[in-house]
Amino acid sequence: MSKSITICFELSDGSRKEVEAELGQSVMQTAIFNNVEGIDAECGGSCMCATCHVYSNDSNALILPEIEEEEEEMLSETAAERKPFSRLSCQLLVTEELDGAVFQIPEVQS
Amino acid sequence: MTHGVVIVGASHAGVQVAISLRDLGYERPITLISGEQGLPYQKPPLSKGFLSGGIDYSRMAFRNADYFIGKSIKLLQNRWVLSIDRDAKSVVVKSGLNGKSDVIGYDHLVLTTGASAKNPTIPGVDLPAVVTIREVSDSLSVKSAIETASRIVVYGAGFVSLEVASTLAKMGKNVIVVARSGRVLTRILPKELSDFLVNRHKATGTDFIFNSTIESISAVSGNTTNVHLDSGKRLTADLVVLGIGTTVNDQLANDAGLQCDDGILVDRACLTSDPFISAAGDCASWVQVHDSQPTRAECVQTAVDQAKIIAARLAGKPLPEQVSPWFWTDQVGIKLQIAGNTLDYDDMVVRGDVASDKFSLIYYRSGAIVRVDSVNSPADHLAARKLVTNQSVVSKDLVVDSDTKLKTLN
Repeated sequence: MSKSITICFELSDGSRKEVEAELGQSVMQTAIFNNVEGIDAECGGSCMCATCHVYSNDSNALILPEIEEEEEEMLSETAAERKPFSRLSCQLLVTEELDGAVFQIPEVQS
Repeated sequence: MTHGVVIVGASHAGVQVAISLRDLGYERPITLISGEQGLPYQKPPLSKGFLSGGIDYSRMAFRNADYFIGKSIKLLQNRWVLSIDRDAKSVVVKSGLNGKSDVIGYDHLVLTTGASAKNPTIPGVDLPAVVTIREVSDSLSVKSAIETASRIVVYGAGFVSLEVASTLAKMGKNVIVVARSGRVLTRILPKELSDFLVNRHKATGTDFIFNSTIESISAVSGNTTNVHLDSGKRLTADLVVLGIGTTVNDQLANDAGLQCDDGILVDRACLTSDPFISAAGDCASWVQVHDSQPTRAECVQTAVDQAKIIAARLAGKPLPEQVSPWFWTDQVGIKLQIAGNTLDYDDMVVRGDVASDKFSLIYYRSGAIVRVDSVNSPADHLAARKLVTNQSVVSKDLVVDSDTKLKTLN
């Protein structure tokens, strides 16, 4: 069994779901595998569709990888409002530093 | 007793039907029959990230085992549906493990049997160094072959062939693409984009031989083969990858008397000629939005959209609207995203900068936008999907202005 940490998703209704996240998987896949509603991920994680939008927060921002040009461009087209800590969760790999991190899920993805 | 929904084929479409049914509150049994062993997985990485080693198998699964158990989706693996009894509403299922057959009843049957890689009928096609790529086992064969193979012949110039060529060239292999057509992606791309892609491939060292047919493949020694072309030219290869298109898996439907014509014919609600049988994905032929003839879209998004339509109908929910097909490919550093698949256009304008590999081609017919191809311009593509579905009428001056976001033109 690969090593795992805990991350938390805050759904659009305000409820929270804590899930085990396997290191090396993406945050998107972690949500999908754990039945977290509100992440569509239509393209399966190829950075093609912008339907795995999440809101990170200022403390996560320090440990997440920087936004690359492609993700930046996709974020300009998300269905829900883009906020300062918007990310595409398919581009975020689960690392040990993310233990306890919280990601908010927007109301709509497409 | 209620049998619920039985889904034949754990493809993109098949898995999505099961997921969407549960998402929409469908409470009856769901049985998902897979011809393969293991969790259902996504196929796009087989010719790209999985082949290169960048994407692990565990990252290709749609869902993990706990999901299927938790959602009461019965996943039958390594089973083949042999026949459909439409009167009894049941299917005969054979186990690949022990060869035993079972009869499984259904209230509604969903056929998501996909398509198979087409095998040319040429001598030598059965040699061990000759492969197609359709399932994970195929991709694994290629992975193992390329540990020693250095000279690769790819036959065909469709998406899968070109993605394989790109992946293998990047790994330092000598790749030659043999195509029967005069250019790549003939049925899919306009000539300008075909040429653009070929130039990028050539820059990575890949060679192309167009307007050529492979007549036979013969073993030399070990896995080394000679590939004989109709021109008389002979190529030496350690691995031959065949990617000359697909054959639809509609035999089961055909045998059951369902209407088929290069695919299982379905209506806008994805219903076949039997009101208790639906079909979706690569095996289904339907009339795309703005089209008049039924076609098989053969793309992930259409498979998923059709699956959602079936699930909504079976769950008694309003059907999602049809949208124009969109699809993508990733090769030789180019992310090409296509919205709308028509090649029937009377004008085309360029937005962005072709020289820097970042642009979109916007196609018009009678003043309306009917297709947009975006190269390394994902924001354009996302906005373009709506423009194409709506066949928006937008002035060319406006769409070529890079300072105007396409999104604002919807």
